[in-house]
Amino acid sequence: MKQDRREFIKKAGWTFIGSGLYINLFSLGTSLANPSRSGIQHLYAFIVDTETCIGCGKCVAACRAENRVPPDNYRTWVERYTLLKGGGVEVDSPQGGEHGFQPLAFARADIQKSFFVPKLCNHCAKPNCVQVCPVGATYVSPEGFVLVDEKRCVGCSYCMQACPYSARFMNPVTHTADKCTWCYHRIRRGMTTACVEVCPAGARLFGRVDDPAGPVARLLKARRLQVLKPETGNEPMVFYVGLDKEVH
Amino acid sequence: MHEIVTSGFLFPNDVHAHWSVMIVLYPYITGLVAGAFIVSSLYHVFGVKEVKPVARFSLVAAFSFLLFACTPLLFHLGHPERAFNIIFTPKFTSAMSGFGYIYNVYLFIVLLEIWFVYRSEIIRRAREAQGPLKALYWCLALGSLNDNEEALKLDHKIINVLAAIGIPSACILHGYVGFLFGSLKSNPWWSSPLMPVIFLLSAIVSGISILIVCYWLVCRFSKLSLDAECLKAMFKYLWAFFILDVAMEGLELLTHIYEAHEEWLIVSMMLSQRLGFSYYILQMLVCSVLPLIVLGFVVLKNMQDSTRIRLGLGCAVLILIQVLAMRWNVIIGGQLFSKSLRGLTSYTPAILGREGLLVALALFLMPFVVMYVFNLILPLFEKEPETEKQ
Amino acid sequence: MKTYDHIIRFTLLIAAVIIGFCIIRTYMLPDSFGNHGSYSYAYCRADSADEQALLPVLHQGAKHCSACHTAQAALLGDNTHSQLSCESCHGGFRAHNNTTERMAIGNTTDTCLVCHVRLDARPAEFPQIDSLAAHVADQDEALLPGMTCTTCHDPHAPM
Repeated sequence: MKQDRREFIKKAGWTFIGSGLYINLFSLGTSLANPSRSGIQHLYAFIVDTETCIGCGKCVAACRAENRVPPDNYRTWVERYTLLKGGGVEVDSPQGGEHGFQPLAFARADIQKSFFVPKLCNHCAKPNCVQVCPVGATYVSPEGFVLVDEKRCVGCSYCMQACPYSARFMNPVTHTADKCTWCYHRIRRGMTTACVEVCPAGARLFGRVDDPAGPVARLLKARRLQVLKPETGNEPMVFYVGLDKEVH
Repeated sequence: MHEIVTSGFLFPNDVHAHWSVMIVLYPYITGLVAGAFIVSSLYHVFGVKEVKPVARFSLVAAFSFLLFACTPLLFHLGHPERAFNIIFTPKFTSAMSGFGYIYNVYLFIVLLEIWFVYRSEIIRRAREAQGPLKALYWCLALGSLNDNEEALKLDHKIINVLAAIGIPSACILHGYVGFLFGSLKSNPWWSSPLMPVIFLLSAIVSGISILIVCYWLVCRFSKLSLDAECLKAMFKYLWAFFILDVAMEGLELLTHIYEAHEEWLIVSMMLSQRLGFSYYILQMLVCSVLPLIVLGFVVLKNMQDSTRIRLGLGCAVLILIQVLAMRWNVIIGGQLFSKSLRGLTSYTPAILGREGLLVALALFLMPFVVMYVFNLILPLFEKEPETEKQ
Repeated sequence: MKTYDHIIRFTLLIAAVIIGFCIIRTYMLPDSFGNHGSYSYAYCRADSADEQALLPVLHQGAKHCSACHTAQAALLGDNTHSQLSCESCHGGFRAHNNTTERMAIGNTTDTCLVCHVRLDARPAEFPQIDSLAAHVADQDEALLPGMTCTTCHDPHAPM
């Protein structure tokens, strides 16, 4: 009697372990069979021309209106860099540059160079913000847009810590992660992003990488381009013209 | 809301710290769990007989802290009602997803070990109790009242196996928290392969310290007599682990200073301007160097038991503060400088509110309430033949 | 048999918990949730992207405005302000047909100076002035009371 029960428990135990292993290894196999980015295409890229930007802040205002961004939070913003002849660097972004900038109290003679740098979510090809989401609430869409599923996000803020560019914030209304979506809702309707739409200087450009007549392909060919923080390995898809070494 | 004080240039979304005092409390509580479990395993796996008096208590302490480990996180989440998403759709590329399954599996292991350790006591009470209590004990025994020789021998084997599995589980439970920070390449104050090691070692020392303090308090306020040999052994292990812990923390700081990466300028400014007291004075000096030296005397030098206990207890308290300060300095510190590497912000926890200090204190005290209630059902300390238990 | 009795009981209890969890999970999981090509980057609820595609659009673009405002569009022609979107200055489109909810933006110098005040960070070739007074003096004109940029410059045909 005792022996029978022992035999039964042994068999049941091994069956359980065996089937568990089988199921897990099988699903592990299928997920490994899909290497990191198959099924996702990076069709779009964004270009920021810091040599043309006039720092008017219309892009920040347009984004806030288009996407109902709560105050004190920024899906995009503009920074101003003032490099002084002595070697100092002054960086400012009053309210994200939304209402433009005021002249600084430096004498023109002391300034070596000065420029504006608009910033936004880089929609990286290997976003580490997506990697660290514990519930699969942020993801890369099939077109390559990094989006947040407002209905699944638990509001843990790990993605905000992970983003090297501080592009994400906690939306105080929805209590979920929020960030620039490259106006996905507009792109799907064949329009361009709100910030690109209103930029008076043509400093922001957006389009398909494979469109030979489009601004992106043109500049990819014509100019030397940089990205912010390439050392992270995130492969950002926002390319900058004229990025200075002082810009982090 | 408290005024945020900024200096320099911060990215607009860097002004507010996202992770509050609740996130400082969470690794602190899970750290206490890991340390308490290690003490219990010292007896059940490594046969350190001296800690037998606290072996059961440390298990229950680990369980009590574990029960409340998730509460600071629930108070922090933007959508706590969606908290189950972490076990329904965990994304294992994220260290944080480890919380769902690692936490539950470990909770189950500790619960199981407590059940096996207390089973003979539960059965005895099920037989002797009357009325509703009898029903309670019967339920706790899952309706099986066999405590023959073979069953108890089997229980003993299972306890050993559970304690053995529990050690790497405890390490993973706390190691993953360290990895959560240490693997984040975008934050130079957190990103370090040493982070899981530091978190784990400081968890162990905080767990041993809380057991020392609790054991002393229980003996002080009840008729239980203090076992000096037990405390002596705990001081020994506390000192050993603390040496490793301080060494790792020191190594991390030294590496930062020596390598002087691009971010070191702003990080050192953050440490001296925003965390001067809690980092340099509290964590590194008063609560590290002092206990390190005093514990050395406590362990190595011949002295009266009462002196040893007093000094060791003081060190345990300092170490509890040190570990809390370390959690604060790492977690809050990492958010006090902008990713622009050009600016600093500030964080003052609210007193009231969902993520305030009052709630934090309440959550920290709740495990002790659980232990008290547990003691009403099953004794935390084994009855001594010569003295009466309260 | 008696020896294993309690082991069997708790194993059954745990099995019940696990099975219960699996059943609950099946009901709680949204249909479109899964691995959509990459566990690292596309483990998500596929419907979410389509839901976001349906969010309302605010800015309509210059072509939308010029459908009715043909006069301004003609003025803009291909002058320096023609590369501006109407919404750059007039804000995102909102319903304003036959209502008092107009989208005109008023006549102050601040409106123009947001772009045209001299800043060191602006490209040198971009038209900038130090102030209205300085600019008027530069043009050898007199600064009259109540003068604004639009006294001399039509915003739809500035140069």
